[in-house]
Order: sequence, then C-alpha cells, then structure tokens
Amino acid sequence: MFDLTRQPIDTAALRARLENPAAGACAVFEGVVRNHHQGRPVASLEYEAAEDLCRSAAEAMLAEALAAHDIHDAIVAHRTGPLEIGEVAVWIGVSSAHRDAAFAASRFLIEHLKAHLPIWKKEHYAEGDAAWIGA
Amino acid sequence: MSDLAPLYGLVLAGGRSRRMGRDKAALDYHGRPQVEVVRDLLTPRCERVFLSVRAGDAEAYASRGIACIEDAVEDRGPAGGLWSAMRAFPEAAWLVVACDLPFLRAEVLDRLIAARGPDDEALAYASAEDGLPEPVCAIYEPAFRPRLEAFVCDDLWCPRKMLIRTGARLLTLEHGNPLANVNRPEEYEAARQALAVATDAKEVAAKPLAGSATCGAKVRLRYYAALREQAGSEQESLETTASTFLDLYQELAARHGFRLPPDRIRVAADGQFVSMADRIPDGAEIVFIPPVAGG
Repeated sequence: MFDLTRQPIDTAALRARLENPAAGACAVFEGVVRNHHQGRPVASLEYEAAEDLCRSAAEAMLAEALAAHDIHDAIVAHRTGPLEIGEVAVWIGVSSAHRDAAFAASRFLIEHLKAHLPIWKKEHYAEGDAAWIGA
Repeated sequence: MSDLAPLYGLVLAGGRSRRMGRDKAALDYHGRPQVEVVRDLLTPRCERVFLSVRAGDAEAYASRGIACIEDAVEDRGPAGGLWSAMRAFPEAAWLVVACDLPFLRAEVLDRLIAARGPDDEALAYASAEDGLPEPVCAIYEPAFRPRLEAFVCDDLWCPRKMLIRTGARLLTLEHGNPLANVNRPEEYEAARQALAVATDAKEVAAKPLAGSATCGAKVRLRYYAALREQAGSEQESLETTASTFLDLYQELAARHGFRLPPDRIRVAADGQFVSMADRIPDGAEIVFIPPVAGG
C-alpha cells in the first residue's frame, strides 16, 4: 500500500495493518524532519509530489519489492505540504517471516523512493531563505 | 548506490543480421535508425555509451563522434561484444542492449538500473515467453568478468546460457513483452505495424523530423517544485514545433529561465516515464521532473 498525504502520518495505524500471525519480523523505517542540512539550521520543510505519477511509480516499486523479496506485505507513506522539525516525512514498514527479507526490502524501498519517486523537498532555513534540494 | 560500479552502456550493433538480410541496427521503427534510438536511451542513463561493432567498423563511426568498441573476437555475437567491452573497461558495469528490440521502453531500462545490487554479478529480465534470462537487455557487473573469461575458455558464447549458469538475478517484465525481438523481414513489418497502430491510438502527430513546414504538437505541461517557481505557474498549454522532449525542455528553459541543465531532468508523458530523446506525441500531458528529493 502506498499513501501520499498532507495529514500527519498515523504510524501506529500503519503498523497495525502489517500485523500477521505468519510474520516473524516487521522492519519499520521512519524518515524524520531534522533541524539542519549541510551545516545550516533548518526551520521547516515542505514536500511536493507529482501525485498521479508518484502513486503509479510507488505501486510499481512496491510490486517490485514484493516480487524480489520473500515478504508478506509492505507499506510506504509519504507526507506532502509543510512539515515541522521532528515530524515523520516518510514511513516504511515491511512484514516478513524472517528478518533478512524485511531489512532488505525496507532498504530497497527507501533507496528507490529517494532516487526515483517524483517528490521534491524545499528547505526553509533559520536565516529566512529557502531552497529546493537538488535543484 | 555509491558502492556500485560506474554504469557504461553497450549498444550491440555488430551483428550479421543473417535472417533479416540487412543490418538490424539500421532498421527504422521510430522514424530513425534503431541504433540511434537505443543510443539515446542509454546516454542519459550511463556514464559512457559505446557501440559494439565488428573489427574495422569503428573508424566510420568515429568520424561522426560516436565511440565504439570493436570486437576482439570475430562472430561471437553479444558475448563477444561484451567480452571486448569488459576487457577495455574492466572496472565498469555494462548495460548491454540490442538493436532488435523495437518495443523497448525507457522504464524497462530504469527498472533494471534501479534494481542493481552490490551482490549481483549480472541482472536481467526473465523472458515473457519462456522465463529464461533475456541477455541483450541486461546489466553485467565487473564481478561477472571472471565468469565470462571462464565461459570463453570453455568456448561457451551463448549469453543466455551464461546467465543461467551464473544464476543471474531476474526481474519480471510488466505490461506485455517490451523485449520481443525481431529477426526476420516479416517480423520487422509486423513490429512496424504494431508500433504504428500504437502510435495512431495515441494520436501522435506523424510529422517528419526534417520537414521544413512542421505543424506543431499541442501539449499540456504541469510544473512542480523548482520548475513551477521558475515558470511562475503550475501548468500551461502550448503548441510546439519541438520534436523531442529534450528540444521542448530547451525551448521552455529559454522562455522561463529554467536553470537546470537537461541532463538533470527526467520526463513523463501521459503518466509514463519516457526518454528525453523520445518524440512528443500530440496532445501529451508532460511533466518535466527536476532532481527528486523524497524521503
């Protein structure tokens, strides 16, 4: 399941969706807004996504993770809009019978997401200026 | 990803095309020779791109500024080309792509590249027909080279058998068979017709690239992030005489002052990632994608 939302990510609810009596492992990765980037104090962030494109690319990514790894289920959720320091920007959870597959699949998902999904991040610095990361 | 070897592209253009009766690399499915289409697909995805050609053929390409690797061994097919490439650049990983895959799409290559892992010796798709490895749209990592040398010592030159014996990791193809290959004149005609039908269905303006009186394609653009701010709007509709997405981006960069060079931009049309070198279909909804930064 993939979710793109302007609302705070309900991590407990997503975690509950992965409950499965056959799962001996559940790996969770939370990407959290931090207060600095390359030495500069960051006040807040905003994320923007090309929604339709992002959803279809994310579904393909999840299908690939499910095909390539021996896992039960995987959930990816990403915030859009303005975020404050400490908020969860991205949440990834993978359930599997054994831990190796859960670690590997969650690692694949976050790396693939960061490299490919059409999501952009603008940092608002404490000094008052702002920049799109990578652009 | 930083621990992966640099990815080089190898366009297989040295085949004899015996069954076709003429050079498969020169066949025209998309308005120009397929070898150019494949090279343009690889260029934005690879650090360097080479044509794999027969011994003695590189000079003719060099005069046009096209880098080649000549076969160091005669008539040994794709594996011979790969062997020559790996000897020339043993530190590189090679994305090898044949010129007889007219249905190959950019996202097929992108999925393959994204799936690379540090433990892979080779990475390929499972054939849509028989589930066996597809060797001529595949990535061969530097770790594959000792295998290749051993196969060559045993005089085994079948790249598919090499992948099977290596236990190469296989990805599953999505959406039909983009790796269907074309070997005979009747298959060529059928492929051209299938592609023309697909093109008509999307109402692509079939206009000649070199024509003087070009009629423009009507397109809709959606802008995000840095491009949205530089364009000063979220979307616009316009008519363009640009033939490829790359041309259109450069046209828009001049108009809106986009600062990102085109090699850092990806593009999607009608919800699908496509190549910047692809021609623009009339009526397309286009998203130029600046470097992403999710997570």
